[in-house]
Amino acid sequence: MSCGSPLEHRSRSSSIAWFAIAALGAGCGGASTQAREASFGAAVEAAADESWVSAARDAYRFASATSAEQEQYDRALLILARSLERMGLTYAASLWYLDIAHSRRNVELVAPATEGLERIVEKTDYDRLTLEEGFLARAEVSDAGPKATPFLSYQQGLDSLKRGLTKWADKQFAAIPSDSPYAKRAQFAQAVAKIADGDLSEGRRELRALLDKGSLPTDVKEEASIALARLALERKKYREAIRRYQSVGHLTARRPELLLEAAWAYYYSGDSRRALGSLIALDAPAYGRIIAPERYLLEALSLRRLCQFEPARVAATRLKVRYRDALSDLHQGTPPHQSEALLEASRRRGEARDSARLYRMLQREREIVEDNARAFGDEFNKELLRIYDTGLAEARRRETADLRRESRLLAQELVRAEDGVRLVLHDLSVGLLRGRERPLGPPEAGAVNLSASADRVSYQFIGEFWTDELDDLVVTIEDRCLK
Amino acid sequence: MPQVGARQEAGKARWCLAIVLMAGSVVAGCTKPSGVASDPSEVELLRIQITKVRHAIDETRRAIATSSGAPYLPRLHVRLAELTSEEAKYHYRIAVERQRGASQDALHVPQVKLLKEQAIGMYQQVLSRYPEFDRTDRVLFYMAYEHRELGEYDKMTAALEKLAREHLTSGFRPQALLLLGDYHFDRSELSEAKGYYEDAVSGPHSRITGLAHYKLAWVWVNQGQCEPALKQFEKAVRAVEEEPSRDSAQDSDAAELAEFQQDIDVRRAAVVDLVYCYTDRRSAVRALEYFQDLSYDRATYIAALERLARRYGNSENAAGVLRVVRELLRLGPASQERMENVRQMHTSIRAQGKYERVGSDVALMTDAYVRYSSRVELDESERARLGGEFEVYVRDLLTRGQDRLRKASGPKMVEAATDLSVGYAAYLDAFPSAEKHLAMTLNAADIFADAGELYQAGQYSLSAASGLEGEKKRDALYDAVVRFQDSIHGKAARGAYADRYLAPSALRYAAVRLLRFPLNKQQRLRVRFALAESYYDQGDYREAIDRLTAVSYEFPKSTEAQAAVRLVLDSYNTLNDPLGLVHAGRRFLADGTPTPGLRSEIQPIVVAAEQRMVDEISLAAAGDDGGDLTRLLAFARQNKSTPLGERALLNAFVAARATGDSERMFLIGEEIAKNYPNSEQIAGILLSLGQMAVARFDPDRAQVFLRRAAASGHSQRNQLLIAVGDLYDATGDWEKARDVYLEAAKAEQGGARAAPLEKLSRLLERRGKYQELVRLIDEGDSALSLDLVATLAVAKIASGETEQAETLLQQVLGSQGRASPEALARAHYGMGELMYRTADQYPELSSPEFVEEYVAIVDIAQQSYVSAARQGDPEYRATALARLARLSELSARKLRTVRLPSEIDGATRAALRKALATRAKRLDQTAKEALATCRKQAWAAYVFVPAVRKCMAGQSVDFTFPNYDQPKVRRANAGGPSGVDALRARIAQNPEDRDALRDLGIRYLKSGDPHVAKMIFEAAHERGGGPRELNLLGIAHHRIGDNAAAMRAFARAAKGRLEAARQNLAKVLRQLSLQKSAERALAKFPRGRSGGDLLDSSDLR
Repeated sequence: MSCGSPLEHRSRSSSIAWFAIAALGAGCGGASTQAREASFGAAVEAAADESWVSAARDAYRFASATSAEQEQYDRALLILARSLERMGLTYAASLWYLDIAHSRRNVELVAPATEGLERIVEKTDYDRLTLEEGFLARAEVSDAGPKATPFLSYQQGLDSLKRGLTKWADKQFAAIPSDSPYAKRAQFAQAVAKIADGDLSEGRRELRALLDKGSLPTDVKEEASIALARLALERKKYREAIRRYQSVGHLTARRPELLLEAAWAYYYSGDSRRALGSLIALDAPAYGRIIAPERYLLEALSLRRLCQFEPARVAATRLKVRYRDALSDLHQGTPPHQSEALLEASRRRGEARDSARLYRMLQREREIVEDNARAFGDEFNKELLRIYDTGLAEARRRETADLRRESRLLAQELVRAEDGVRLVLHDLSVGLLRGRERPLGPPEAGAVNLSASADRVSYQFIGEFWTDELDDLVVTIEDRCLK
Repeated sequence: MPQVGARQEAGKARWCLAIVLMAGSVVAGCTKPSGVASDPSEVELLRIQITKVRHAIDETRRAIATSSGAPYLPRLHVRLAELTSEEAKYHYRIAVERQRGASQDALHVPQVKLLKEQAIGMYQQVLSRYPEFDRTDRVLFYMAYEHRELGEYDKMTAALEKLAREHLTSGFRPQALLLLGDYHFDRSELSEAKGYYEDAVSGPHSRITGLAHYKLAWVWVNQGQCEPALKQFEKAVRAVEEEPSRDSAQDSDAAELAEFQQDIDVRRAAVVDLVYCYTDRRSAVRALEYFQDLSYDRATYIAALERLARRYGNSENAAGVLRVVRELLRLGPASQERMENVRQMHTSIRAQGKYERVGSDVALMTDAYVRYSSRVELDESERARLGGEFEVYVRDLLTRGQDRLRKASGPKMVEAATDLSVGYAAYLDAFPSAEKHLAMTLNAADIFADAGELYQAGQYSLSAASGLEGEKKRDALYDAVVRFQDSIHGKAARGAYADRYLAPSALRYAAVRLLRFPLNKQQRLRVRFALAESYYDQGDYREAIDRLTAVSYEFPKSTEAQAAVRLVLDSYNTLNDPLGLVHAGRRFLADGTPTPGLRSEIQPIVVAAEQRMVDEISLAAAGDDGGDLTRLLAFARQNKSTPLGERALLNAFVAARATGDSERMFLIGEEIAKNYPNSEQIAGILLSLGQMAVARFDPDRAQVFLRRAAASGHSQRNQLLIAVGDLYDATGDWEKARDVYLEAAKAEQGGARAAPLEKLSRLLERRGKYQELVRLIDEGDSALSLDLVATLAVAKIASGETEQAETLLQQVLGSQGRASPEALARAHYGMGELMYRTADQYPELSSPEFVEEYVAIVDIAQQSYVSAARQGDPEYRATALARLARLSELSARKLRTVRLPSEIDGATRAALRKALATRAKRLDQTAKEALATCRKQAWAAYVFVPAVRKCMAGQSVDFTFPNYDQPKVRRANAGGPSGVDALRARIAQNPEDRDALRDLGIRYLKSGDPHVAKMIFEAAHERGGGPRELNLLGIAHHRIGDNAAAMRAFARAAKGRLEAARQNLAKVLRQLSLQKSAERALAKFPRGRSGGDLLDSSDLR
């Protein structure tokens, strides 16, 4: 603990592991300088002590002064990557892991490097283009070891699936041991691929079978439920869709699109009050910057079903109020990729979301680099800053490109929604003339019984949004339609 | 709802997206793998293995020592040899570990050699000592293997050949053949090698079959025979795929042999190695399909593609390179090789000179670069160098592609541009800091425009403009404006609805910035127009009108000005503002049309708008509440003496008619007639007013308006005048009726005169004005119908012109069925009357000849009267019967007074007297019967004309021609009752309202206007009225003086069992001194119900 970095701490078990890594190279050193040997040794020692800053610095010092042909070169890089990963510098770590795994200079280190990449990919934001499409999903990695091979098979099978190479995808997925969590994910991917190919019944059957298996990773279980909910919605099986959406209700806090989808299911099933409840949840401050124009149209339609004409009109026109800035920019002709309002919303959607998150992650990690500048030493610090500055520039470039596309799509969506508002308003005007008559559709569900019982409580909504209640909101508005 | 539809349409896309999303989320949620594992030192492990194997050797030696003569002894020897060999292997591997990096060929490990020689010795001992040992094949194989390890190839081959020769079913045989083949192959003894390999593949399928095919393929390759080589490679792949899970021969051998088999992935090696021959023998066109089909996995496919790329590159097969490199860039990992592929792609495209797919290719190139550029092994200078290099490649290809595009046209050009646009977008995204980025942005704008993606083109122009200054900025902004405009209106424009929706705003954004620059007149015109039009496109019509109007005046006679004028008018039209449209249109016309050719276009638009405007106001006027004509009338007065004013008044008139506001109709009609006397609608208006007056039972007004309608040139003038005449006739003013009919007849020519003349003749006939009739109607008139001729003939008889009359009568009677019953009635009657006169004036019957002739004349007259009576005309029927009676009476009297000549003897005299008496008696009987039949007219057909009344009185008629009651003339300025507007309104709303009609008629009767009352009651009866209305009609007729009509109405009402009518009928009969008939009436009609009005009642109900 020579540097005293707050990031450095000890752990007996991981110390043993690091000694082992160092031992792999012990006794095999070539003709290198004493200083270099000392750096390597210090790196090994620091890693064993979980002094990550020192380990990284010394490993870099060794590697930068050593030929890549030397055996210890890659071992040093592995210590470097591992140390950076422990420090939270996952981007730089991932690049060094990638270098070790891709170069195959030392085949023994391909496995730990790949495992390092797996950890980063599964835990954090990461550079998808470089890591996945540049290597993990495409490269032939024959020495990844038993731990990382299922992960790689899954990645590569998924990539093949996306590119229509089903035969190979199936082989790659088949290579995943059945007890690996990736096996279930692979099955899920194959089911979804069938759905995407139009084989809905088979895809649905496979998803159901997957859910019936039990011992499913939570995320796969959730995704399968969501997929089945969407399928049910498409097939107009609204009750089933609602049941599926309710089973993943806890996800709505971070996936607001599920609230909107559930609202459509409620609406189509004839339960306009529940639909309105789901839509109210979308007003939560957490979703403040999300643009989902469909929400207001659905609210207007739900209120229309209850013959609440004025509230319906207000709801429809709220779209314009809510997205005033974005619409104003569009009406003024501001290019979508120059509209701050659209850009802000676009950063939360599609590929732009990934690039925006990558950019923010790089910013955070660069700050960590700056915080440890002295401990890293000039040379290493300079290299890390170079890596992060390059990464930031690239992330910014991607974000700009993605935002250009996404903001255009968003603009089109807004414009279509604005059109929808006009249609809804027209429909409301005509509806008013026709009297309090409910539009065609399923019978409207009755008002919700709000009385308390042994297993139920209810609260009046007072404008506070609680994440665990988002999918339980219901609006108790009067049905004004004539029976 | 549209939102729902949008959701459903997006279904498939959503699921595609789901894969991507799912991928991310699932990966993100993977469970944490365990920590880093550590491996012990390889050398240490090998040492441990050596220790273990030595223990095993010791144990085996001990077993051999204690097993002398045992049947399993040879097996123990073999095991000892194998363990010795195994120890040798471990020593060798330790040596390798210790000298890692050095060439393995340079290894010299004496210990290994010693141990292997020991093992060989042990094997030989088994073969010599135990020739009957059942696994000699196995011993031979292992021994050969050890010889091979020691480089003793002659001994190796000897052992293997012995094995192959003597153990044909051994599981070791295929492996032995393979080793023998390899031995000869390595010595370039290809024929020998081929023989062994072929022997290997010809046996049962085994785990080495695929490998043997593979080796055989290489033999062919080395012999320069690519075609058989390809076949063998393919067989190698298929053989491995079909490889049995366990050898069919000896399972235990197969398990052992696995250790000795060469560490080679035959499926992969075969696919990769056949590349050489494939490129030599087969087309590059199907290369991708071929290798994809043959490849076991993606890695093999990529490896084969990499080799293919090199091969095609070396042979300068640009098309082949491109095919393969595209696939590599699509599927391969990022690497230096991919960067080399990018270079190859650039070189090949250039070499080929084909740029149709260059956009997609560029996208692949930039994608490969982006995936690789973040690698940590690339230092800053290398990254910059790589970026610079690739930017040039990509830019070079794109600009060349763009140059080539200029030579294309039509759909091919659009297709190529669409592809190129993909490349440009990829370039601009990938190289945002490139020096040429701005120029490439401008190029991209052109390409997107060529592709029909005009909104995108405009956005790129706009992006470029933001980085430019001066004229270049101006030009870019100008391009943006034009492209946005074309994206809305251009025929070639493609793209989403949302783009077209957004384009007008984007256009304004660009145009506003552009107008800060000085522009030439043409540019300024286009921009100003586009700017104005953008408001129109987005539905901001007021703003559009102002700006477009300004353009039309600022740039008159330009094409844009024409368009602007049209758009202005259309904007008003869309706004449903015809007033604005009319004003704008008039202004364009008044101030001088911006382009002369437009005047003829604007004029009808304005006129139509004016009419529409009036129609709009009219529509508003004809509201649910009966309408408020105030605005329409005010508008008409504002536009007095104009077509607009006229149309407004006409619409007001129509609206008033629609709401039943007859008083207002008369006022508006008068106003139209006064202000627009030449209106095309005037006759129709006056006719409507006349009809309205008729419907309102207002004969005075009706006569006036119908006359005016006729005078205004109405196409049915004749009928209108006849209608006027009928009205005079109905009000008893026969003289005026006569004059009007005459007027109508004089105004017409030919057959059209028949109708008024007929009306006239009937009128005069009913009035008994036969001389006037003869005077007014010319018998030579070609328009005369047979009816008229018959009537005229009767009139001439009445006037004493019997000769002409007879001629006319013959004309009718000889018409052979063309004459109507009425005409025939008159003709027969006329003939009867002529005979009557002859008979009446016949001299004294002084001779039998005279008598005979007289009787004949009387017979003819009788027949004529009878024929007349049979025709069905009630008046002539009755008169004919009465005259028949009269003639019969006179004739009988005359026959009885015949003075017979004296010279006739008594008997003859007596006989003659008797005959004359009989004849006279028969005539009396005829007279009586005629009178009786005549009387019956009253009770059978309710005909009470004067002739019938005579008959009822038992008298034959003394008048010559049918006699009619003569109605009184209606009192001048009768005026009608007051306070009946409500009743009139009810009738206007519902002409079938009998109660209202009855009440109105009563009001007229009370006011002393029985003529109008008669009209009303007649209408009430026609519209379903009952006895009550008939009784009132009778009262009206009675007051007019038409007893026949009155009694007919009473009789019909009495038949309907209305007591008052029964009494009224009896009363009239009494008044006419027909007491008996009155009694008969009371007897004929049973007592009826009360409720009707009596003739002398002063309080009609």
